[in-house]
Amino acid sequence: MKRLLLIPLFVAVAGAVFFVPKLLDHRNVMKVGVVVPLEHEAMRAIVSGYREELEAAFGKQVKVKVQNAQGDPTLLQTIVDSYERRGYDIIAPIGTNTTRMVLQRTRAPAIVGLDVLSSVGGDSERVTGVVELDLDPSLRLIHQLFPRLRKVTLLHSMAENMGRQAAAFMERAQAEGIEVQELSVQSLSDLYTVSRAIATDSGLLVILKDHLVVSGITSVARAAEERGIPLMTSDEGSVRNGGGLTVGNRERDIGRQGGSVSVRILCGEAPGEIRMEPVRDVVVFINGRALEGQGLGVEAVKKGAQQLGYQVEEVDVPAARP
Amino acid sequence: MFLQHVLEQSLAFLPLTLGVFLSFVVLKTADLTVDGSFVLGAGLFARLVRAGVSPVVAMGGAILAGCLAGVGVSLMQRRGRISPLIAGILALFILQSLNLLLMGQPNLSLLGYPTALGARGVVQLATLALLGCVVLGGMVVLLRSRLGLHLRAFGSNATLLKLMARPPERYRMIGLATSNGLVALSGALTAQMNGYADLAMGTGVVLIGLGTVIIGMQLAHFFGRGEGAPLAPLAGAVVGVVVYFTLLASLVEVGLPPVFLKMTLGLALVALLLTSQRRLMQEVLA
Repeated sequence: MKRLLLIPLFVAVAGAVFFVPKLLDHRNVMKVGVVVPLEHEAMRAIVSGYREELEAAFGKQVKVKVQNAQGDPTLLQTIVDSYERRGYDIIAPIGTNTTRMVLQRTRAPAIVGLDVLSSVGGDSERVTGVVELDLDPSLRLIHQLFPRLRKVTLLHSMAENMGRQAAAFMERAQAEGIEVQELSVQSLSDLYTVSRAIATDSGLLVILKDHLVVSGITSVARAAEERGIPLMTSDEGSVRNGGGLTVGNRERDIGRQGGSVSVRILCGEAPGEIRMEPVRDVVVFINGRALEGQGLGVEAVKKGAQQLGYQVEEVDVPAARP
Repeated sequence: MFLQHVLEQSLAFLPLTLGVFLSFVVLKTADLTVDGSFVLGAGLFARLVRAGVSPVVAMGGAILAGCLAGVGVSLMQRRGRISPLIAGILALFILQSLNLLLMGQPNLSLLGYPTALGARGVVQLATLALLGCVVLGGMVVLLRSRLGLHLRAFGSNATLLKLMARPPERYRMIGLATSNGLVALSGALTAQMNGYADLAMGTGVVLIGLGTVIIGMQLAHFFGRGEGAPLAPLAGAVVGVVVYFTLLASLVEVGLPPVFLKMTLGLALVALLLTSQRRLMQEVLA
């Protein structure tokens, strides 16, 4: 008998789950759902810029919901399904994989991919967004700063599109006469050992936009310092945590550009008619303290960056402990 | 639509749940190869479809690959040389490299390629339901057969099999091959639904499988269907996977921050285990 009483309790809970969110939904408000695949400082900056742009354009008439899957693929699926059920006007996933999942799993009318490959949507008319920066600025800066460089070490993981990006980097570098030592890791626990395997004749350590390796950037930075070679990373956050320099977009700018694309869609433009482009502003982020330890002068980097027409920003670094 | 999404996820993970049920509950073997077999199924499916193979044949290939992984694990455990727990972990290590070699790269997109599930919506749900019925029906037939009896005997008392002049290792191999084949099938289904296969997509799926089995077995005992109905735990596992994904979707729907989700689900399972009868705990965790 007592067990049967659980049935109406279950019905009440199920009813609350189904109906409360619908009651709380504001009918006249535009709804945008951001899908964040994992917890990362760069993702937070993208979301911040995105939200800022939308709220500047629409104020309280737009509701931006942000859900983070914490690196869990099953949770990511559930979040994406939830956004489809709630009839969001735009779904904004961060990253190529997440955008592909949204495209495959939903019939959302507009998908704005943030920091994605230009080919992510294929022929779909529902997809647009902000393209990730390609390798050109990084390679140009390497040539500018290290004209006599003969060998670089490329450290990457096996996550997401790293294999493809690493292959592209190696092909470009080798075409320009630079030998590439490839070091790959499959998990964070391998990072310490692998990062100590840098070749003695390597002149530069390079990390691409690689969330797994960036998680252990402090360890990699120490390895670069021990070897006395510069560490070139791929985002502002990793420079702050020990990388010497990077050339890329401000993550916040990626979010802002994604936000302005979303504003155009909410004002009536079709996603398929909005060209996918990278952020125009290319910035060289410098960690002066790390660069000195890695054997490269800050002024030389600044001069080289300015000659290429890139903006330069010195990132704030926490003071070293006494 | 809530129900559609929950059912789709549940049906895609049903083979995995049944596979974990077979290894952990029937064979009483803690097989952690699941995370690797899941990716193996997804990766091989993606590779074959991108090479022009029919999706149905590709799914068959994925299942076969999973079975082979199960055979490999059973050979490691043969005659107690390596404990099941260690063998599963070692197999997982090996599969991490094997999966990457098989896929050629960490991520394979399936957007624009044909799937075996049909158009998203009712058609996909119906296809998944049909597949779920076939898999479940197969499991019922297996467990009610003489082979199923021997598999259960292996889990309960392998010595009894020896006394009956039946080689226990044969049943270990059949059981683990079937279990991992089912897990690989789940991987292939998930890859089709998500539009890609990724090396990291198997992380934590063994916990999902265990969680659904625990929920299901607790429900089976709760409603008084224990020893008198041998297939009750299997039915419970099916209900368990639906309950798990309903709970997950509900927590996301009511707005619980995802950072608390895993903790909430974990605590719910702890509560279930603490209130369960000792026999249930022994069945799952022995």
